[in-house]
This record gives sequence, structure tokens and C-alpha cells, in this order.
Amino acid sequence: MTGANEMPSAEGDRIRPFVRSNGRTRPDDVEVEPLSIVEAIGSGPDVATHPDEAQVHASCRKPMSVIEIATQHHLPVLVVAVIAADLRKRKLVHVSKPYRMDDLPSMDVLEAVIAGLRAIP
Amino acid sequence: MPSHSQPPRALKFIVVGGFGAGKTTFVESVSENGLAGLSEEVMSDRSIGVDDTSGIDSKRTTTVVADIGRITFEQAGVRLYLFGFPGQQRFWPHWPFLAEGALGAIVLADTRRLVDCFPGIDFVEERRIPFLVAVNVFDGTLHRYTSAEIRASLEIDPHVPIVLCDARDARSVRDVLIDLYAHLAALSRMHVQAT
Repeated sequence: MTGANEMPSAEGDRIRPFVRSNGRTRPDDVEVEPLSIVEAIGSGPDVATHPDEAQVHASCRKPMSVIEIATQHHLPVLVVAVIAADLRKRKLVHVSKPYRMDDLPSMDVLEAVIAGLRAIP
Repeated sequence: MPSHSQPPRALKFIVVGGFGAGKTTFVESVSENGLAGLSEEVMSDRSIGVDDTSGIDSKRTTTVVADIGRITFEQAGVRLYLFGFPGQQRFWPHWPFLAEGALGAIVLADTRRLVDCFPGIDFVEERRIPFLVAVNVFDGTLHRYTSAEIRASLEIDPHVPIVLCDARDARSVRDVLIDLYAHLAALSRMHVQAT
């Protein structure tokens, strides 16, 4: 999982999550939430970066939520959120905000979704 | 509307109901990419594999606490996520985390065990998450109740929609989602008028 090829695979997961996110347990610039959708810009971080970062970046070539990326790689949601925030800071990904009760979609958006639902065969 | 360079924005609905009411089937029927199983370890901020499960492949002992499905609406710039909640009581402590940011809820009811959806109704009412009740009609097991009878026995407000559905049928599930959206749109119109 960590891409540390020299270690047996069972050891690969025996790393505390905060090690994977360089000691931080919160995304530190802007909010990244479990349902923030992340999409990669460009070809990816250079080889010197952390393998988890490369993995997260590779997972979001198509738009993918933090929680789905976490599930895919068996990483805690928080770790993926921290990594996504870092990647955004380095302009390697776009991150969208989920809608919330205090930030509801406009009527136009709601109607476009209903139209989309009706189009499901 | 978001620009083309931005990923879609997520919109979350939750699907609650008793154990065996058909929540997983409901989510899977309309999901564009199957189901993602959200596990306890992924939700947790504790260490992975250090303090527990020594010698055991953690992937095989994973407990899935929610089934996640999604539908993307490119035109709207929206991706709808459906979170199917675990019905068993031992998973109830996870519900608040799973419900965070939900804009709507489907309470899936099984008429053979109507009481099983009470905790789900209480939960969404307490959190003021707009919801509807979808009565899952299983093959050959339809106990015929009128929606008035169901409303009376569930003690839900007159404004809460009650609809029939077949969780195995994408079209039927889609209709439930349209009903919930229409309900949301009506609520948000009311909200606009009130402000």
C-alpha cells in the first residue's frame, strides 16, 4: 500500500497515519471534507514526493471524492484530506466543496439534476 | 454554475432503514460505479494495523459501515452521493458521522417490519434532514397498506411524502430520488420565500 517495495507487504500498512501526512492531522489551508471532490491537474507530483501523494494524485485523474479515494487505498479519510489539501496548495489538483444545508444548490442546479435523473433509462 | 475546470460538487443523500430493508440494493441499483464499502478503519483517525489485528490481513477483517454509490450529472455540475446506512444497532454510533452534510434522506421501510425504520425516522427528524419514506415492495411479500395507514403507524407529518418503490429496479429508485429532489426544491422555495 505504501509503495515501499523493500518491505514485506504486511509491514506496508504498519505506519501511523500522521506519519503519512507529515505529522498533521488536519488539512491546514482550506477545508477539505470527506465529500470534497478532487481532480488532478497535469501529470502528477515529481518522483521525490511521498508515495501516498502520488497514489492520491493518480486516483483522481477523473474527479473522485476524498472518501472514495480513502476507501480505495484503505487510508483514513483524514489522511487523504490532508494530502489533497497539500496537492491543491501545490496546484496539482482542483478541489470542489460539497453542498451543505447552509450552501444549497440554486434552483437552476436542482432542476438540472432532476432533468438528469429523468434521463436515467 | 461551476466552470469546466472545476470538478463537480457533491450532494449527499442518506438511505436509512432497518436491517434487511433493501438499502444496499437501493443504492446499488442506480450507482454509476457499483458500491464503495466504507470501512471503520477508513473513517478512523487511529493508527492502521499497529495496535490490532497482528498477523491478520486487515482488509479481510474490515467491517463495512456504509455502502456508497454515486450518480454524476455533468450538465448540473453535481455528483449525487448515496450513503446506505448500516441498520444494525451496533452501528448506530457511526450514524452522526455518516449523516454529516446530508441534504436529504430516504427512509426505506419494509412493511413486514415497519417498526424497524423508527430509529431512522427519529434520527433524521432530530437532525432536521428533509426526508421521505420509500416503502420497498418485495416480490410476493407486499403487505397492502394504504399510505394513510403507513403514515398513521409511523406517526410522520402530513408534509412528508410516502412513496412505493422496488429497490431492485433502477427506474423505481430514480423516481424516489426525483421525489426527494422535488421535495427539497419545494422546501428551498419555501426557504427563499421566508427570507
